[in-house]
Amino acid sequence: MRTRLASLVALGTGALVLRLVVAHAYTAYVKPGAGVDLLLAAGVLLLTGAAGLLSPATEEHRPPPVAALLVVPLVLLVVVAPPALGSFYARHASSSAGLARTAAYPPLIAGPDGTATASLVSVVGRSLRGQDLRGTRLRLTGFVSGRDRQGRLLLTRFSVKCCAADATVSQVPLVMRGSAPDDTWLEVTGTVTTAPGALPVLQVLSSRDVEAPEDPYEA
Amino acid sequence: MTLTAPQDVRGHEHPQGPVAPEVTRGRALPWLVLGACVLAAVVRLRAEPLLQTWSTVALAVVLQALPFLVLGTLLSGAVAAFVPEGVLPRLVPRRPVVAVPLAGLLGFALPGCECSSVPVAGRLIGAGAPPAAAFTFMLAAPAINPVVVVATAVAFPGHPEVPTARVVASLVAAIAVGLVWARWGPRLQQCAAHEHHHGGGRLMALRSALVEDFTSSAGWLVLGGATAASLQTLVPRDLLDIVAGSSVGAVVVLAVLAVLLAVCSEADAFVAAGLTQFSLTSRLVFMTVGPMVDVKLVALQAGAFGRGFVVRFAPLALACAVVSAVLVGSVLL
Repeated sequence: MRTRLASLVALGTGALVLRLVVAHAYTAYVKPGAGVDLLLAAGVLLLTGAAGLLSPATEEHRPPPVAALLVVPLVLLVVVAPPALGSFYARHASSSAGLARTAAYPPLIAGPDGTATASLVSVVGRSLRGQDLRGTRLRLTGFVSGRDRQGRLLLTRFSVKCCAADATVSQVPLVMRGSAPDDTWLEVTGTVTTAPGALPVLQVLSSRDVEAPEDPYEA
Repeated sequence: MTLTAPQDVRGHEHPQGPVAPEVTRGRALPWLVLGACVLAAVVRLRAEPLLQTWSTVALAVVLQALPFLVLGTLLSGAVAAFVPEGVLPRLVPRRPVVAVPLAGLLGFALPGCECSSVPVAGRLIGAGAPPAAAFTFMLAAPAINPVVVVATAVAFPGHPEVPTARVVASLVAAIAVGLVWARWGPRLQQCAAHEHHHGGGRLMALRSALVEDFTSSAGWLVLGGATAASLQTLVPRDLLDIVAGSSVGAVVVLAVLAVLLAVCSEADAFVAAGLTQFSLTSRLVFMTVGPMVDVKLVALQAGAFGRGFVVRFAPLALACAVVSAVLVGSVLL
């Protein structure tokens, strides 16, 4: 049995990754586009692991002690089941403003209700690049992470290029009544009040609590 | 016993033989106790935002690298299974001055990030490739392959000189490391004798090599992910702005940051693009160092080639990467 340990490790890791992808829980950790890669990797690990366990009398080398560390992701997923990055990390992460300033964004297109839906990072980028957003009704979705120095609620979203380790944070202060606890997801509709070139501030017309989106990070 | 061929890079340090069960049990007990304590602490603190954030980042690093690690072990398994003994030494030019730059240029052909290239380099050495050439390939591939070059061009729109400078700086650094290693690196025993004879043909050999390479690399990847997560969640980012103003300070800080953050080479250009308070040259240093030396990569290399190897190799690669990036940056950027 001991000689099959390596195959067992491969099989277990493959099963864990497969479960993450099937349950669509992987987007809390990596970009949505990585799903196919993860699925393929899980397939290879499951196949080779199963083949190793089933094949008769193959000699396998004992995995080195460090392979025991593979139990760490397993424990973290089962015991901690960490959610996507939230308000705690928003205070730590670097701002997406630097990146947003260099990206090119297509013009905003308003829907039938006269409101344009946009990502937070694109709104920050458009405003910093000098687009005049004043007068455009915007619909933004994000979570609450505290208040800025003027006491305005901060609507927040992370941008992820590859995985949560490269996350940068986009924040838009909301001018509105009422409050919401940290990590509450809000869908707000409002207009930008700041001049082009500045970090945008949103005058909120309406706001409602929503479920956390399936893909918590913006691109 | 893990007798993957690359272990012989450790030179005098011979792989341990099979350990008797009772010895294993005696050694394992303290680790089991430690593991139980850690597990108890994790269960108790599982709702803490710090632990949750740490876990998210650690899992993210492991998960994003996993497909590339599997791709790398698949390729390395294919080398082990399908490249007959003795073919590689005949194909690769004998002289390092020819073989090393050639290996660097071949890095264009392995699309993926740094986690694929470590097991591939290990197996190439096992199959008889000169170590210096294999290491150059390992360092160059993650930085200059088409996927990374395109990502870099996308991250720096309007700056076509940035992807160019990145390719040149990475290639120069990788070749420099290879040449230094060929001239002064420790002599390694070539180790055809350790090629296994697996029953059941090539497919079986592929499967067996894949499982072995995967289990020995993935544990180190977890260690690297945990280190990167600790630094990401515990070090405040405000410190960065203070040093960004000095040109030497910026280079040093971004080199250190590249090592500590362990961002995948497919994403590091986007991170660099966001660090607008830093000079372009210091950001080139970030993008040149990261794919060659970072905590997760050092952990993977320690697993593949031994700790004694990493102690010499990582500082050499770091020095070459910084010098090359600064020189190329001052000319091209």
